[in-house]
Amino acid sequence: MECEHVGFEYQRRPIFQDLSFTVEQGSWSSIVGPSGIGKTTLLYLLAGFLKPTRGQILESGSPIVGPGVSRGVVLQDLALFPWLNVLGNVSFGLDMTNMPRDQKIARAMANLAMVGLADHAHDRIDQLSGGMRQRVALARTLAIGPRILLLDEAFSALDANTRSILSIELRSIHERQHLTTILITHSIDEALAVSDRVIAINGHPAEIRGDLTVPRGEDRALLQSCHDTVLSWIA
Amino acid sequence: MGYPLEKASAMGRERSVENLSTADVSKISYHRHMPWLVVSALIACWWVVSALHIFTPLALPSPVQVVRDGYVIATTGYNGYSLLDNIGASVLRIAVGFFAAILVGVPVGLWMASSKLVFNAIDPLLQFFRPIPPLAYIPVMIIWFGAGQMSKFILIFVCTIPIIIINAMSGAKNVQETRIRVAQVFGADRRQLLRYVILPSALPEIFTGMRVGIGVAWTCLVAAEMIAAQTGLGAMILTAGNELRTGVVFVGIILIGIIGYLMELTIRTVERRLIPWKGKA
Repeated sequence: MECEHVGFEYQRRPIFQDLSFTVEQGSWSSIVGPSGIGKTTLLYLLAGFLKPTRGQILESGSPIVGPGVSRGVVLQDLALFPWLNVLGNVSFGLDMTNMPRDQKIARAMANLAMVGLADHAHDRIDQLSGGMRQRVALARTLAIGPRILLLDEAFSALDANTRSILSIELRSIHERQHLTTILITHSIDEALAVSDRVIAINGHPAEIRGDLTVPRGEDRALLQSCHDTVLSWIA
Repeated sequence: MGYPLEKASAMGRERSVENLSTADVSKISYHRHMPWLVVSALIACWWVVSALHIFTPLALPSPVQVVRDGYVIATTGYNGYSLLDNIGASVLRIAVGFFAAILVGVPVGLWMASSKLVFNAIDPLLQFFRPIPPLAYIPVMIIWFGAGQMSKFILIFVCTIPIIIINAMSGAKNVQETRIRVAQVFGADRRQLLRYVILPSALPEIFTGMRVGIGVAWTCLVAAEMIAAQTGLGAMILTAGNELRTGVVFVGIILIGIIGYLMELTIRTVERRLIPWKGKA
């Protein structure tokens, strides 16, 4: 996925002016920045909900012209459908296709099992905890088989324990399914915990202030140094 | 895979009956009996005021007199029509006019929410007709559609449809934008968006419109039946009033209240079944 000199204006106010970066296939990149900088707007551009006012965003070499099943999105408020049960939510995307019903259910159940919610298939959404709802939103997105996974503050509403468990699971799913994942977050720790790369944006209009490859491993001193570096870019 | 922390948290939100304290149980029981307590207190007040003869029996008959009149008209009828005929006529008029308003109003409201052009075309008419009181329509309805059933059906339809349209439109306009975005990612077209996202999202407001509308429907109906009808509870009340049978008037008023309340309860029950998530997610 490539952003080429992307600019975006909202009500004549420039949010981005010249944003360029490339996300490698199968990698996990996090875009970090302070609140109100336009991170969600950037995710909307990557998802195809909004069109750049200048430049272009390419997916596999082709410009993105609108939302599509190849780019799965988990939004900050999850946007689950409370009138459907857990299974109904996960199979929602499949219902938009001509897939036979038994196949749809089998695929939705497989995705629910992957996120550990197979036993909750017939529960209502309002009966679930925040972490379980997050898993439903993830399973719903993964059920349509996207190549790219866009996550908007995916862990921000969760408590520390759930956040930690879910981030490990998500990383494992990302690796198993060879997804290209882009996480939008304001949390440097969260980004460093799961990503291969962190892109820091800041300023008005927002611009890239730094780009860092995250070292894998348990070297706490190295991670702290990465944290401080990213913090210096967005502070 | 198991997630004990989350399961515990999810289960923790639903307190089981065994966990309720004696104070909780007595509070629930007290709340459940509250409507009966209020009704009983009102009847007791009515009884006392009528027994003290503060008003003449013609102005305020006693509850016993009203029950007696109710029994008489339930067994022998009134003014040539049985009580069931009168109730049936009113309920039929409400049912036909109000359901027609729902059948037409909901799609029109959704359509107005999804198209600026349709909104601009219909909204001025809607706002023009909405404040006109039902009494103003009645002479025109009788001239156009006669004094039979049709004029009552159309009157209820005309008076309740703006409420249904406005609530359906408002429900559709208030759909969480992110739900539409997500559905777009899944490839939902306009028709699928409307059927699978917008309509279910708008249901809570549509039901609110129905609950308001049913009250308005009764107001219109009784007004119409008082002006041009042989049967119906409104006609029964008017005839009884002219004959100074205040007890029968009270029977009519109480029946309208009870039937209106039953209709409200029916809508609430359907609402609970169809929208169990309302106010929770």
